[in-house]
Amino acid sequence: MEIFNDLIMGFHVAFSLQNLFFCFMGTLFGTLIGVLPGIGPTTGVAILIPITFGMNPTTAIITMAGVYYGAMFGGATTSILLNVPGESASVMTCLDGHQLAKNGRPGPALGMASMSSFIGGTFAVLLLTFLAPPLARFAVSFGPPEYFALTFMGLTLVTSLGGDSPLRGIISGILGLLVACIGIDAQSGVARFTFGIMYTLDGIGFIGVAVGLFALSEILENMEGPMEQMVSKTKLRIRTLFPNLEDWKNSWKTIIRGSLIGFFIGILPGAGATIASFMSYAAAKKFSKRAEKFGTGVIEGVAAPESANNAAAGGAMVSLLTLGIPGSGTTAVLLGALLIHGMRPGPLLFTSNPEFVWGLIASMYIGNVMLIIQNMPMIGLWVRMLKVPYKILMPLIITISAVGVFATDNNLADVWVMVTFGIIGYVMRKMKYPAAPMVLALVLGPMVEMSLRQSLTISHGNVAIFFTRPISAVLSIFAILSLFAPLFRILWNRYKARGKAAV
Amino acid sequence: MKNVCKWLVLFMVGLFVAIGAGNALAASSFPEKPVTLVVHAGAGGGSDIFARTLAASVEKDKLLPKPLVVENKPGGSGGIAFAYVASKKKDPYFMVTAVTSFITTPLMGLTPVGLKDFTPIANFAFDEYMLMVRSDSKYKSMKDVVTEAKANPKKITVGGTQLGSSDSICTYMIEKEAGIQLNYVVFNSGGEVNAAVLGGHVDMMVANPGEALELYKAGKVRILGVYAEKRLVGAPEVPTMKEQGINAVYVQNRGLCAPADIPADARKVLEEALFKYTKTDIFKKYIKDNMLSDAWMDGATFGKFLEEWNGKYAVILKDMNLIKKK
Amino acid sequence: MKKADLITGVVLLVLAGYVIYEAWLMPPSGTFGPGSGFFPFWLGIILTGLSLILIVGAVVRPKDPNDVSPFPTRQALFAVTKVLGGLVIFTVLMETIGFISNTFIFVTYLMKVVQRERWWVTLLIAVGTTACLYIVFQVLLGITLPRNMFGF
Repeated sequence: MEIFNDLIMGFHVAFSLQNLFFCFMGTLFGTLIGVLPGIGPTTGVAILIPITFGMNPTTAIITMAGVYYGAMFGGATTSILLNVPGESASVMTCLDGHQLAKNGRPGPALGMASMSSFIGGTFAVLLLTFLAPPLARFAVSFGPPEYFALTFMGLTLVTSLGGDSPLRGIISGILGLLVACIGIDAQSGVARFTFGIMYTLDGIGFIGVAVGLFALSEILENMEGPMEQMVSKTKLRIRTLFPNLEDWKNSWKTIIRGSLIGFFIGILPGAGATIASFMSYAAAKKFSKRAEKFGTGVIEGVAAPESANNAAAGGAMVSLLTLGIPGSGTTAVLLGALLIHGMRPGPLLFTSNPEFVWGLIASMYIGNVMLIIQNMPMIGLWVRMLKVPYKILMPLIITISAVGVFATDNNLADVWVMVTFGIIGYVMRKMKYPAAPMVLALVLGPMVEMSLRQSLTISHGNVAIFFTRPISAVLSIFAILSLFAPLFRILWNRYKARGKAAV
Repeated sequence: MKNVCKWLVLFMVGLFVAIGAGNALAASSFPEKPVTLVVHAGAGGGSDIFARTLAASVEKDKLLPKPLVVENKPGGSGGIAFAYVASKKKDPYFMVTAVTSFITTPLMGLTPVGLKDFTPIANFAFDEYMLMVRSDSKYKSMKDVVTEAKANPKKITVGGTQLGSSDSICTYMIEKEAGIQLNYVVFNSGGEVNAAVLGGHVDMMVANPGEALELYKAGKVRILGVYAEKRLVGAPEVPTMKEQGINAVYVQNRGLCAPADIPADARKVLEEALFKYTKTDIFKKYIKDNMLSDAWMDGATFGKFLEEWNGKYAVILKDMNLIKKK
Repeated sequence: MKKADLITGVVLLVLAGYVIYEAWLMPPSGTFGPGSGFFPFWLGIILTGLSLILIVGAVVRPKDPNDVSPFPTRQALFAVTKVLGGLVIFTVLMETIGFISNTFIFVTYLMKVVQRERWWVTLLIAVGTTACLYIVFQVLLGITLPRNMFGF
């Protein structure tokens, strides 16, 4: 087995004292970046570029890759504790994670987030090790029609996140799609709904919307009444820090599914960890026996997005290393960093720089282990944070959200977006509209529209393109079934009810 | 009370005089504090790498007594960064990266500022462009493309980034010079276009050598032609567009501009420091790794270059129907 | 909820109308496939349908005696406005008075005015929060936070 020899060589490289040290620093820094709201792995890696100038290329990229998957690890923390999404791939973790924390189980939620991150991350590195070259073919097999079918399917799943009222879920989703329309339409150069403001030309920043809708609106709602502890003292027992056997029973299938979904979506250039985490959550809900409990604090609701976003980070490395094609914002920055160090990722990299590639891959095994060792002891500390009186925590949450959102692009306009969507989110809370569909529609909307128009441009307007290609045909049929599933369910229930009434 | 007021006024006057004197003194020994280099695009892109490499060299090779601080201000096709730096009129402590969008974004009416709001400082390099297909494509040369496109107008698909980008301008140049019609498909990023070509979802794409030469060496793609006067050093076997009878020459410049009306001596200090930069090992490695061609221009020459291309782009963008009537 | 649904329904209907109008004015596609107005246009149509369902549903629904009004009380609204107003001013002033003074003032406001905390707690938290954020973002991450004209 040549791969094993290569991998052993890689571990040889990765186990040098210097590489171990920087892998540790990278993952630690990544965790910090992930914990901080708004600012995400893309910015984190970019910050490191100048610092790593003097290093040898392998050490530099080991450090930066560590930041990437470290951020995926850390992103869950503030999502669970404060309902502030640490970065865009952790938005889904807010839904059930924060509810778990409120129900007095922040420890198990954080523990499950770390464990599923670890499993997802390691699983992805395993696949990367053994299957990278054949998977490169999979990465390019998705053209515009396939992306359309995939994202459209995702959009149909959005409605299932609506909570008790599907109508409100759909309205929230449609509003999200409308927000996604804001900005220059890349395909025609036409400015849409920009109100003459320069900032809006590039569209509304996702992270500002997410932080506003989730975190700020919750703070505003909490301000209404007398200030209370976020988690009442009687409920919070520090001793229950880790997921119990039942949690594992509920989650193990979800983790496996999430790792698979995350990895394969991560490989696709143009999809990325955010969509992976969402698809994984939606799938977990679809297959769950207690689907109606999702959103109220079920542990699988944490395991699903966290296993997926870490696996996606691994998957994105496949297309980066084998094709030189970045699959996400962060891998685009990594590509830039590689070029600075004179490494040209592409089909030849595995043969021309084997020490580099295998050293990096080996470091990702080590980094995942380091992350779990770093994160598990922190859980006790994080949980104690919830014992801090809310009135002291509140100013910190607001300011850290504002600065974090500002720091992503050094743009105050993003803070305005956060404030605006904080107000919108507050109104939505009052009127019982779920926020999750809006946020997800905002991510998926541009991709749905873009791929639809690309496909039709390629086919000269012929819709058959979605059904004549195998992958796209399968996905399209899934999407259509999923779109009409609620209708079928209603009809079926009515049929059953009528049957009962007749008896 | 009156006395307090008087003292306060006196104190303020004194303060302003002191600050003013400080500024005057500072001008004589520019730079007194770090210079901010604003990048008009996000972290990790071509301009960002360029800026960060420069900043590293300023520090390592001691090109300026104070460091160069890189700040990303992406958005609005560069418009946000351009407007931000333009607003720092007379302040030599700001510079902005200037590539094609520095000219096209104002032309397309996406930002209220334009060339007149800036002082050109220097140009460093040119990015070359080329047209490529997947290696098993039936198109072996530009002649095949032209023949096919003449027989079936708008059938050949070309992937690229948004309208007004260098990709779209290069595509348009071929259409115009060869008298053919292609089907331009817009993608979000160069990476996605690469994937679409490799997957056979679009027929061809316009690419930089930096993005594509590695795929070419691995035999995954074939390059049909280069948009340059001379053949590329990295791939001398590939003919230029001109050699194949299509008069399409295109480069993207990589330069820097400061706000309008900065002190002449500050401009000179910057120009000299940046010229020294082009002689450093860091710069030579940067040029080689990113497969750019060295193209130093001082401020005045660069200014003329910008003016000249401003005229050319105005014509092209108008033909492409991208300049909105107001 | 009845009244709330009526109001949101009408608001959404107006929004949908605006979207459809704007989308209608957008230029048609220059190539194959739908143009830039296609997507917003149909979203507007769907939104119109949904808001009509919402309005009709609210009108048809019989009055429920257990119905709780979703509108916040005047007191609650005032409390929310205090925080929100502070945040808006915080954002407005950010680039004028700089990150450090601005954050200090904002946290002091939240602690003292909104939450009526004792002075020493207020100042402790204000200094602590500002210092923490400055150290993490400016020193550790090297992000240029806004400064005022005096350079801090």
